[in-house]
Amino acid sequence: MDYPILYIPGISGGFVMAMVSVLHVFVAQFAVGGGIYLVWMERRAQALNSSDILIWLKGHTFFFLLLTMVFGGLSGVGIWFTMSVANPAATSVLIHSFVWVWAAEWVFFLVEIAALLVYYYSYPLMLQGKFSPRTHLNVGLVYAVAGWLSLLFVNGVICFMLTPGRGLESASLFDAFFNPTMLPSLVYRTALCLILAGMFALFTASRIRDEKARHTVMRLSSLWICIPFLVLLASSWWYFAVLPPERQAAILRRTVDVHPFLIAYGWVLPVIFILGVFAFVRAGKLRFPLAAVILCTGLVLAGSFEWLRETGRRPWIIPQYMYSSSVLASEGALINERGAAEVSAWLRLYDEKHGDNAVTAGRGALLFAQQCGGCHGVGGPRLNIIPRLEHLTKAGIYAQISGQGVVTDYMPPFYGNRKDRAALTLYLDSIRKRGE
Amino acid sequence: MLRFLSGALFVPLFFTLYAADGMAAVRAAELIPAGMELPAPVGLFKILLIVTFFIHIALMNVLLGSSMLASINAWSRRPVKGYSLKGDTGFATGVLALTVNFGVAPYLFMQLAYGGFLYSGGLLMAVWWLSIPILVMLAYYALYIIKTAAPGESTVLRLVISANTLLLMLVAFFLSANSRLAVAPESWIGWLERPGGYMLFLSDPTLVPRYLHVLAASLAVGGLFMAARARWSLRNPATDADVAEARVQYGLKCFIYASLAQALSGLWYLLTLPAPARVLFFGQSLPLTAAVIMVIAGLGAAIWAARSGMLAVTCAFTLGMIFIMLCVRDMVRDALLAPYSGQIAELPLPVRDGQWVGFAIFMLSAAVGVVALLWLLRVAVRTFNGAAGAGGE
Repeated sequence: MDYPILYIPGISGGFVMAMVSVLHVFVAQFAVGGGIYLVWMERRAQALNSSDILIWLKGHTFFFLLLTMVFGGLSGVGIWFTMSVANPAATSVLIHSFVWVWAAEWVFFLVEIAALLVYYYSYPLMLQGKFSPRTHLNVGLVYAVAGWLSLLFVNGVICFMLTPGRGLESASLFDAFFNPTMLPSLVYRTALCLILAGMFALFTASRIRDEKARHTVMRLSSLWICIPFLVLLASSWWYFAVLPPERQAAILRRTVDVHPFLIAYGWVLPVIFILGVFAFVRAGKLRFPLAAVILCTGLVLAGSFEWLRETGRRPWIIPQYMYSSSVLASEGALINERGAAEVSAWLRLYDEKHGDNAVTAGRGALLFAQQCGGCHGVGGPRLNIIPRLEHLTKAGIYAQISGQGVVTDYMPPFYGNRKDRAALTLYLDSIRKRGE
Repeated sequence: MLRFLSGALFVPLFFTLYAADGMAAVRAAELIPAGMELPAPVGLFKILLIVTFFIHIALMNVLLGSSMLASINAWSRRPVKGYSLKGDTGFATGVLALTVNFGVAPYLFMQLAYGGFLYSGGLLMAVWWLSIPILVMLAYYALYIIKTAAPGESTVLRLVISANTLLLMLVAFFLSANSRLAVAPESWIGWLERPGGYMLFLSDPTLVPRYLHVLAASLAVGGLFMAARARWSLRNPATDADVAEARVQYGLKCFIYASLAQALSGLWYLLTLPAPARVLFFGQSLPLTAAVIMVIAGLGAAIWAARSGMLAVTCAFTLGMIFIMLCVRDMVRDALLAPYSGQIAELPLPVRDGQWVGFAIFMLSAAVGVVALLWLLRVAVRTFNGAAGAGGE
């Protein structure tokens, strides 16, 4: 609560974060799986002595480069930027705790970039016989290994945010990194990366002119969907099984912020497998529109999974340590006793102008921005607060705020004293009336 | 939609009505967020910050400077000999990728050393700050449009390279504004009056000279890079030596004039610095005074070497000056933040044990990474050596 707030009404910080991260993760996981795919397929093409497949692979590598290095790289930076403004306090905790993990991940990101540039730009020379195919494969292998190691490091930190395990208790980096969901998540994400690689390959391979080469690539690529899918399914179950009961309940609860994504996830799984099998059986007939549909199912899979994982943390951003409202669990009692201004200089600033006993909607707006605005927009597309107030009276709003975190346990408690709750009530009541 | 708009208009109105004026009495130090116990000595993070930032800045200067020169030549009636838009920007996609990568590491280490300031600065200008990755992405794709276009030039391609230059210049402006805003907590109070994340601290007198200093430095390094590429291209027997020599001379001329402009903007920047930081340059701080003397001497030596056609010496002096200037930048930042030191609360580190093991893993990763990069460099040099003729890719 001591940072300024990203406050673009309607578009909450959480919404921006969700959009950026879903798109980034989709492309970044393709970057990991795609690296392994490129090497594997190049080897196959060399074994089959198929220049058509190699020529397609060169084009596919360029597509891969444009998508992963440009969009993936920049949206990765976008995540850093968005995290730092959407929840600076939590980002600070993660960076301080895992700085060397992030630093190691950055090293492999650098190796990825260098390897991909050499791999792509040496492709024409390799096709012309001026560059050793074996060295070319080795360059691709360096990329693939670096990409997977990046995943390994990032995965540990992301899982800590869902299941810190003994990490917070023992304060040990080892425990924090190797937390309960780290391994199932790594297996899950590796499988997902391979599936996405297969999907993107189908997407570009549908344009191969030579029928035989297209058929071969389509068939092989569809296997990249079907075989890792079984691993994904098993690790999905493993992942869920190791979650603490309260995290499982958070994912299974029937609220609008999570349930539609659970349904989407449940539906898209069999659809992907069926489409993968269909692509294998009808490889020769698969055309671009269906390949594009298959790719879209990949986006739904990756997006709904990330959404469930993010929402499954609620009401925490780091369970038992920090709420999604950026309030530290250890600070809660103090704030309730002395008021939110005790920990927020911005509120003290406000009070200094209006007098210590000011209870105004303006003060409530500031409190809303600090403790609610991370998730709720005002009139926006995600968790719009206005319809949620429609059935409440002013007294009802006050009661809701007071009981938050107990009655609605998926939301963080509102931390503040009577004066803070009264100010927030005044503000919410004013926007409720305006919304009528 | 109407609800969305009404909400969008309504909430800032509350902030403005209820929070305007009367803030002067509040101590700016109160607004600085609590820091956190560090997992290693702060000096280690500062070393890593300066080293990685040095590489980022050097690459950024090459990128922006080369883009500026390409734009100038694209519209010039008498472009430099051997000029071709594709040839003069073909390398820039790779440089941009590395610039972005080397921007990530200092952003990480900066958070450790100056987190509360860095993130507050980003939040106060959130709209501009969040636009940076998008602007860079557009600049990136602009370079690929040129790279994949058919041979020859067109007005469209000239517009594309100009757009690339303008996008990169805009990013440089936002980053310059952020650097200043982040270390000026006394200006943060304005957020309550305009909470939408639009602050840029345009009223700060250091902003314009600081930005011009960045642009001049980039033009100088861009010129030097053009000269170095042309000299390197002479290793290829197919290169036209006259064209290459003309490009060397053109690049060095750019370097000399831009360096002089840099000296002037640097002096302007120095004179606009807040007094407590400015006086340090005039004898109050021995390291800063010595650094400025070294930079002035280095600049003179670099210009002399450029005039004499000694390219390697010019490059060495320039890189040395960039490094010293980054150290100066660091010392100025510390001087500006000195009034707040000791006033910032510190939270305990939640994951404390085993951080040195983490550091060892990072060092091991860095060692593996360096070996991999050296091998890739060897492969690349062997493969592409001789492929870049004068003005070639």
